[in-house]
Amino acid sequence: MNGAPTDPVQTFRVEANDLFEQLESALLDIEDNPENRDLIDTAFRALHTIKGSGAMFGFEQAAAFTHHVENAFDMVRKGTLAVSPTLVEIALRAKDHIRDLIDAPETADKMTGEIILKDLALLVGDTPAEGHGHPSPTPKPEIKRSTYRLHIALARNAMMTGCNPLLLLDELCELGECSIVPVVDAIPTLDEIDPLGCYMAWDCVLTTEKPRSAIDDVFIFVLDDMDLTVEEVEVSPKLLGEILVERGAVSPEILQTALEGQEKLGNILVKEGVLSNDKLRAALAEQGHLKNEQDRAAKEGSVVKVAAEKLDELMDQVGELVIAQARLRQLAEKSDDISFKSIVEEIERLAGHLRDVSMGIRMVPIGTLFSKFRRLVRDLSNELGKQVQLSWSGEETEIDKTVIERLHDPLVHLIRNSVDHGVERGDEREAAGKPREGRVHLSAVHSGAQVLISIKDDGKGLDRARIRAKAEETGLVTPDQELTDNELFNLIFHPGFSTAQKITNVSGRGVGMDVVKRMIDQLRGTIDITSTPGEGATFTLRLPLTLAIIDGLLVRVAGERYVIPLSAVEECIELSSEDDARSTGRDFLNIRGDLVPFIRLRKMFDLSGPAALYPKVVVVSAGEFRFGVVVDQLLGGHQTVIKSLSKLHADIPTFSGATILGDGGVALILDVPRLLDFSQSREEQLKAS
Amino acid sequence: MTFVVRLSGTQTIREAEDTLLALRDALAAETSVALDCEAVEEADLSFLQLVISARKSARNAGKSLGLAAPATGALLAALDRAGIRPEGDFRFWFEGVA
Repeated sequence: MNGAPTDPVQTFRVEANDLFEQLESALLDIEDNPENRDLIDTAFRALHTIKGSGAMFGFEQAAAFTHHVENAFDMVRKGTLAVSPTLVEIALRAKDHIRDLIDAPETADKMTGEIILKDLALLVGDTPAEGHGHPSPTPKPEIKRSTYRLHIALARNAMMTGCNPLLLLDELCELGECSIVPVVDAIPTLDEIDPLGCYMAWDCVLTTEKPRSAIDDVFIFVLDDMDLTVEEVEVSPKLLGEILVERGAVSPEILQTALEGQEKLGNILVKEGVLSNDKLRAALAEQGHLKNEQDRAAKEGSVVKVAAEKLDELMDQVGELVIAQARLRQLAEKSDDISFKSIVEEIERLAGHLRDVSMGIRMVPIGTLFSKFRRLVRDLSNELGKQVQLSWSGEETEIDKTVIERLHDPLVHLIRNSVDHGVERGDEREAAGKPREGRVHLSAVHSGAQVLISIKDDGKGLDRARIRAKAEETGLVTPDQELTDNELFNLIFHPGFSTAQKITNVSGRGVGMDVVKRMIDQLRGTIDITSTPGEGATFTLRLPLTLAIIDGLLVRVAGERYVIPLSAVEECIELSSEDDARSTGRDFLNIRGDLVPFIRLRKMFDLSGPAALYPKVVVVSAGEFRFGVVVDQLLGGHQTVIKSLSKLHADIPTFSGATILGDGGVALILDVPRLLDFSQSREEQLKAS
Repeated sequence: MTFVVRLSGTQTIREAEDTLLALRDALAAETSVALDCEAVEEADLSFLQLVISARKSARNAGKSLGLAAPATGALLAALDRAGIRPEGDFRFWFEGVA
């Protein structure tokens, strides 16, 4: 069995990838939200970790380079450098360069790095030392999160001496997760109050990765006159009573008496006058804080990273198990042994469950893919001088990871297409009475065993006249041919079809819509297009949830067995002998008033053997199109583990794969959309001859 | 009739003496006082303490004192920084008396 990649450098690269994603997403958010400190901290932390662990794993160049970017963000944190679009721009470029330096240090372009550093130095206002200087990549100490309980009471005259208590609390909060509860017992009435005095005190619970001394540092200038207690608390589930006793707020005896009542402990204690509201609040806050901290730890602890190949291998094995289990079931059907049968049933149930679980493990929320496109849209809109906002919904929708991986390129192209051809320039949009900023919306939603992913823009929509003109020019359609919208729009997937009048940097990269279509076909998916002139276009991809196992309908034609993907099947009907006889020339069926064409697999595959007495028609759909497939016999539903065809057979258009049946036989899986194309082209050939 | 004390602009320790006097006078003369803080542009801890103190004084004297409208803007930010959340007897900051 193949082990996971245990090479630490490889592991670091995987980790770094996560950090890059975090960094990029933080940078893009900062652009919209320059005041948000959390985002700046996230970017800073990501850079810091990349630098630290980069140096540890021998990526000296990357660490040295990152050091400068990290410095810039440290300045932002300290308020000596303002967030600007230029800074974000440089940081994004820097991120790309650091990635190059880590992925392929030998081939990374040195010039790029120097240009970025020069730009950064200009912005920051100093020049980098010759030869990049030497960073001090501090080896990353093991991060330890500690939780402290603090009581903060400043000197009465603290504010008079220029201290701003709220600023101190802000600084404290920056150390980590901090719950602050004010204690206002000491504030006197208006008759007694000194308006300049500091009366409020605070109980805090702080969880931080910083050392204990960092807390003292916050109060360094007032430490001598104040009352500061800091004690470390254990993060373990605690009852309110335990916390109260530990904090000295009530004695164990009072607690015991109170517990015998029925009301909520906190309320009882307050009512009985042994506990002030302030103290209760502080204890409740601590309880909440500790619980959050525990949940967080539990969440972190429950995630394990697994190499992708291992998952593939697991799926393979589960597939084999499903096949073996089907054979076992056939054996059991012939047997009279009750106990044997019950074990087989048990195994069947377990195998089914195992299959579902394994498939679930491979499911990845599509949000990981969506968020990658933010940068794409940002760069594209800058390049094209358009303002485009990318939004998305349904990011939690889960799809098989292989499907997600293979969706990346087609989606990139479709989004490019929307931004480039769909969304108009700002002035055109204003002239059309639309907001200057265009929108591209990605959405994902489950629909049965399929997932629908749509790319919707609010641009000008597809230009029917131009598509038509181009199609006529290239001879795809004749001038008098009538086309539905769907047929017309589908022309853009034809190889060599591009209506862009000038090839822009964006659309002219050699990947055409035909490639998109082919890639989606390979995923056994379809693309639908809807478009309203002036309002925009929507491309909807329909994809199977998984590539490994499908529900299929097993059919027999002249002694051969085939599987039709159940997701394509609409209904099954009998082919009456009249229909059969009548339709020898023109194969059409009348189904509830609709004329549905059908194909005969027997004829199509040149199969001989006695014809069935009562042939059946399986009505399947491919996109908008419905057609029937005539088979001899329906054998029933079949859990189909897809085995790809050998290279020798891979270019046979009508099959998408094969599966092994319970009796060890092989059934080919029909590729419905291709079957349709194939039969249409054959019909055209027949007509022509 | 609720008497409205309008507090505006900067409310920090520099203005604290004046604010204290305004609150004291209002509570001495009226039985129901509402603080209109909508025009407060900056607030620090001294202001928060004064309002809490005024509320204590009002309660002791059997009078009522609250905010005319829920805290917003600079005041809301100051409350957040001080850890004051809409719970228990801090709720009045987040509710208007109107």
